[in-house]
Amino acid sequence: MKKFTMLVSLFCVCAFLAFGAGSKETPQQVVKEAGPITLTILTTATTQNPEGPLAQEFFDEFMRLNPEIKLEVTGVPMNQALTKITTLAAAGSLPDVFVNTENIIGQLYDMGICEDLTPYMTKAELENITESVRIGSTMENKLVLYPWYSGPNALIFRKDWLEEKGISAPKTLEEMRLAAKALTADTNKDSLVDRWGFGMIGTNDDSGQTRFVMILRGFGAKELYFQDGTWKTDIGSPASVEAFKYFTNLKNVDNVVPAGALENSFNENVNLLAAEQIGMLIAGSNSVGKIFSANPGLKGKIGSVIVPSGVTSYTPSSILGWSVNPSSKHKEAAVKFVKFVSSKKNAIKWVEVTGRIPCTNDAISDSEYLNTPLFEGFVAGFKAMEQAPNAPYYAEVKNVLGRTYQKLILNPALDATKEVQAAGREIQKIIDNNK
Amino acid sequence: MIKNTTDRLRQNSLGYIFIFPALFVLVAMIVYPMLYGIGISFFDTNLVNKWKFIGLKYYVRLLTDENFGRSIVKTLIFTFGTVAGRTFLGLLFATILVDKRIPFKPLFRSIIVLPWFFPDVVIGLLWKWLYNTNYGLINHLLLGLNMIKAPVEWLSNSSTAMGAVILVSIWKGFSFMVVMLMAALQTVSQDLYEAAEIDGCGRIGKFLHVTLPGIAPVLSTTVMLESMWSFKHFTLIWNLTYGGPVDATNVVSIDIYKTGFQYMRFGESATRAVYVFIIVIVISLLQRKFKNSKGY
Amino acid sequence: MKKHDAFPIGSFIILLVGCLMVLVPVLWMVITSLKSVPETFEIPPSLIPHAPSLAAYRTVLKDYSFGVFFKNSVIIVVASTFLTLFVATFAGFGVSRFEFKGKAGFLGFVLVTQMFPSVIMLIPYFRILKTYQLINTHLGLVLVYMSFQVPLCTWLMHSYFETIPKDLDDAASIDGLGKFRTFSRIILPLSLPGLASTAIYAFINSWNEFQFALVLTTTDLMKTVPIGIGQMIEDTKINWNEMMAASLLGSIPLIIIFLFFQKYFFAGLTAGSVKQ
Repeated sequence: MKKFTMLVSLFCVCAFLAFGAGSKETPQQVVKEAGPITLTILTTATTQNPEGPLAQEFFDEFMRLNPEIKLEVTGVPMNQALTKITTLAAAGSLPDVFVNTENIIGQLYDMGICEDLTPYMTKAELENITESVRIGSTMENKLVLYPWYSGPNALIFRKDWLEEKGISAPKTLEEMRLAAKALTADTNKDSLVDRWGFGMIGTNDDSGQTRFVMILRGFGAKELYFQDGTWKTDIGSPASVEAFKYFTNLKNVDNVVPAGALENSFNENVNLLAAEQIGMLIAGSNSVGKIFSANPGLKGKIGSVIVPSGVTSYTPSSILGWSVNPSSKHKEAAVKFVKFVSSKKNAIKWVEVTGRIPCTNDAISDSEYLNTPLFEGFVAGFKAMEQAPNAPYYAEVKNVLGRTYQKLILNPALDATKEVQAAGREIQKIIDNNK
Repeated sequence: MIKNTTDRLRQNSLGYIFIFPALFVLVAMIVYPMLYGIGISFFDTNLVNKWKFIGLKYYVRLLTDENFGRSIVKTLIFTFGTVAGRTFLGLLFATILVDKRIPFKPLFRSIIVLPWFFPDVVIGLLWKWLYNTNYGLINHLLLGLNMIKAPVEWLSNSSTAMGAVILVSIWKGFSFMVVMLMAALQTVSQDLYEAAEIDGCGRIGKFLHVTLPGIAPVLSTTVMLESMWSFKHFTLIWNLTYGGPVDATNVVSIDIYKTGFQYMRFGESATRAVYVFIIVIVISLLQRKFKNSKGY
Repeated sequence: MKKHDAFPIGSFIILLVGCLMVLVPVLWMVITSLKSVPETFEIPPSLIPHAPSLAAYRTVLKDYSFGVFFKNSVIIVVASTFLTLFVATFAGFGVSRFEFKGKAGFLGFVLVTQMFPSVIMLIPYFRILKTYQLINTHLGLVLVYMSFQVPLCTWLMHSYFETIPKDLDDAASIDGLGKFRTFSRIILPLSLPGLASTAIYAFINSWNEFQFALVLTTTDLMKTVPIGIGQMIEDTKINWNEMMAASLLGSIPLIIIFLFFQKYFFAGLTAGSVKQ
C-alpha cells in the first residue's frame, strides 16, 4: 500500500515537472519565409445573425485582396469570450488577433496581452477615430483596442404610447419615472396591470449592473474612480443612497416594473418589449434590430433618447474591436486586417446591417441612417460615452452593487442607507485587497 | 480449496495489469491539472503576467469570510436536495420500469430518460423561460387551472429560488439514477423474492430485505457520485439565476467561476476549489464509513 | 401467486404522472421549435403553433454547419466511449476480483480525480493538450473525455461486478478457465446490463459536454454539437426556435443509442443463472 502510494506520488511529480517545463519551452512554430502566412483570429461576430454571414464576406474579401495572408477564424459566443481568451493567454496560445470590448479591456490589458497600436497608425487615422471611442479604447495612453463598432445604450421607448399620453421623451430621471407611471396600465380592464412603464433588468449580471450604474452616476455618485493615484468609491454617500432608492422604488413604490424583476435579464426584457408589455427599456442600438425581428409590428413605433439625467447623464462607452497579440509574429498583417475590417466602406455596411454606430468620423458622416429619429438617442449617447473604470476588479465592484439592489428590492423594509453604506465598505475592502 | 487459495495469490498480481490502462489515462491526463489547480492557490495570479507567491493567505482569508461560509451552506442544501430527490425518483421509477406487468416498457423507459439527453445549458435556459413570472408556461398553466391567484415570482424570490433550482436539477438528473438502478435491479435474483414471499414478507419487507441489499453496491456508488457532482455543479444554476436573487442560490462553484474568469483572481478561485475538494473528500469518506457500518 | 399478476394500477398511475412531468417541458421544446421567431415572443405563449413550420430545423442544418458539428461529435464521443468502456471494465474487474497492494488506494485515487471543481482545470487541460500537440485534434478531446468518464465508469463497473457472486469465478477456475477467460466468457456476459448502462452514461455525458469542448478547440472545424447549440444564445437575444430545434436534433443519436442499449439491460442476466 505504502509503496503504491509512493509510486503514484512519484508519477505525479514527474508529470508535473514534465508539463511545467514542457509548456514553457513550447516549440517555436516554424514560419516559412515564402508562402502565405496564417493569421489566427478569435471573433464573436461569426456566431451571430445577421453579423455572421457579413463578417465572413469581409474575411473572404480580405483574403482575396491579400493572397499572401490566410485567415484562420474561430467564432466564440460573447458570454464565453473572456474565458476563452484567458485560457489561451495562460497557455501561451493566444491568436494573433482577438476580440476585445469595453467590458473586458481592463482585465485583458492587465494581463499584458494587448499590443499598443499607436505606432502602427498615422496621425490622420488616429484622429479619424471618434474622440469618445478613442478614449474608451486607450489604456495608459496606449491604444490597445482597435475599434470596429459601437452600440451605446440609450433609453428606448414606445413612441406611440408616449404620444397617446401626450408626454415627450423623458430627459430627466424624474421625467422617466413619471412617464413610466403614466404608461403602466390595465389595458384590458380586468383589474390586473398588463402594461408596465419600465423594463428593469434586475438580475445581478453585467447587463443589470451596467444599467444600474447609469442611474447611479446620473445621481452624481461614482461606484469607482481614479483620483490622486488611488481608486475610490462614492458608494455610501447620500447621493448613492438616493440612486439606490430611486432604482428600487421603481419596483417597490412606483410599481412601474413587471413582476419577476430580479430574474428578468436583458433577454427577458427584450421578450417583454417585443410582446408589447413594457414601454421603456435601457438598451443598445443593435438590440432594436432584434426586437423588430421578434415583433415586426413595432417598426416605426420605437424611439430613443439619451439616458435621462439626474444631476448629470452617464453613458458608459460601448466599443467592440480587436486587440493584437504582442507576441504575434505577424503584427503588420494583423494591423492590416483590423484596419481593413474597420475601413470606411466596410464599417458603413457593417453598422447598417447590424444596427450599430461606426467608430470613425468619416464613416459616421456618411451613415445616413444615423439621422433617422430611431437613432437620435443612440447617437447622442455615442457622443457622450465615457470610459468605464478600467480597474481589473471592476466586475467585482459591480457585483456588490447588483447584490445590493437585489437585496433592497426583495426587502423593502430594510434601511437603504445602512445597506448602501455596507456595500460601500465592501467595495472599499475590494479596493484595499487589490492594492 | 487450498490449491484454489494459492492460485488466487499467484494470480493477484494480474490485478495490476487489469488496472494499468485506467491508471495510465488518469495519470497522463488528470494529475497535472489537479496539481496545477492546487499549486496556483498559493499565488496571487492572473495566470499570465502576475505571479506573486502568497502562501496560505487566501486559505486563511476564506476561513473567516462569511460569504464563503454561506456559499458552502447553500451548496450543501443544493446537494442534499438534488441527491435526495434524484435517488427517491430513481428508485421509484426504476422499480416500476422493471415490473414485468407494466406494458409498453421500452416506450416509458425512453420517455423517463429524455431529460438526460439535452445539454445543461439548454435545460437551464428552457426552465428559466418556463419559470418566467410574466410569460412562463408554469404560471400560465397554474393560473389556468386556478391553482394560484397571481403569478408567482419563482426565481425572483429568495424563498422559492433555491427550491426551483433544485427541482430543475432533479428533473435533469434523475434519469441517470433510473438507468443505473434498472440495470442493478436486473441482478437481483427472482428466487430471493419468492423465498421472501414464502417467509411472509410484504411489499415493503421485500424491498427492504431483498431489493435494497441486492442493489446496495450500485446505489451507494451512484449516490456518492451524484453527491460529488452536485457539490461541484455550475451550469444549471448559472443559467437560471446567476446565483441570485441576492445570494439565495449562490453555490460555491459560482464563486469559483466569478473569482477566476470574471475577476481574474485565479489564486483565490483555486483556493475555493481546493476547499471544495477537501469537503467532497470528507463527504465521501463519511459516506464510505456509513456504508461499511451498514455492512454493504 | 395470482394477485401478483394483477395489473399494478398504482405504479402505473405514478409512471404516467412521471412521464407527464418529463414530457411537458420536452413538448414545449418541440412546440417552440415549430414556431416562427415572432411567435416565440408572444405573451401569453401559444400552446399550439399558429402555422407550424420546419423552418428552424432547416436553418439549423443549413446555416449553422451542423453537419460538421455532428461529424465531430460522433467521432469524438464514439471513440471516447468505446475506449472508456474498455479501460474501465478492465479496471473494474481487476479491482473487484483481485486482492493486491494499493487496491483501495487505486479506487480512492480514481475517485479523488473527480472531486476537483472542473472550471479551474480548463487552463491546465489546455496546456496538457498543447504539450502533447493535440490541440484541435479529435484525439485530444477523446483523451479529455476519457479522463472525465473513466473514473466513474470504473466505479460503476466495479460495483456491477460486485453484484455478481464470486463463486462463479471459483467454479470457472475449477473448470480450468484462466482469469482472462473467466472475465471474458463468464463475468462480462453477466454484467451486460451494467456495461450497457455505463456505456449510455459515458456516451451521453460526453455528447453534451460544452465547456471543455468550447475552450479546448481553436478552430471552427473542430466544434461539437453543444457548441453549435451554445452559439444560438446571442449577445442580446436567444434564438429559441432554432436552439430547441438544434437540441432536439442533437438528442436523436442519444435516443438511438439508448434504445439500442436498453435491450441489453435484460439480455445478459437471467435470474436463474446466478442462483447459487
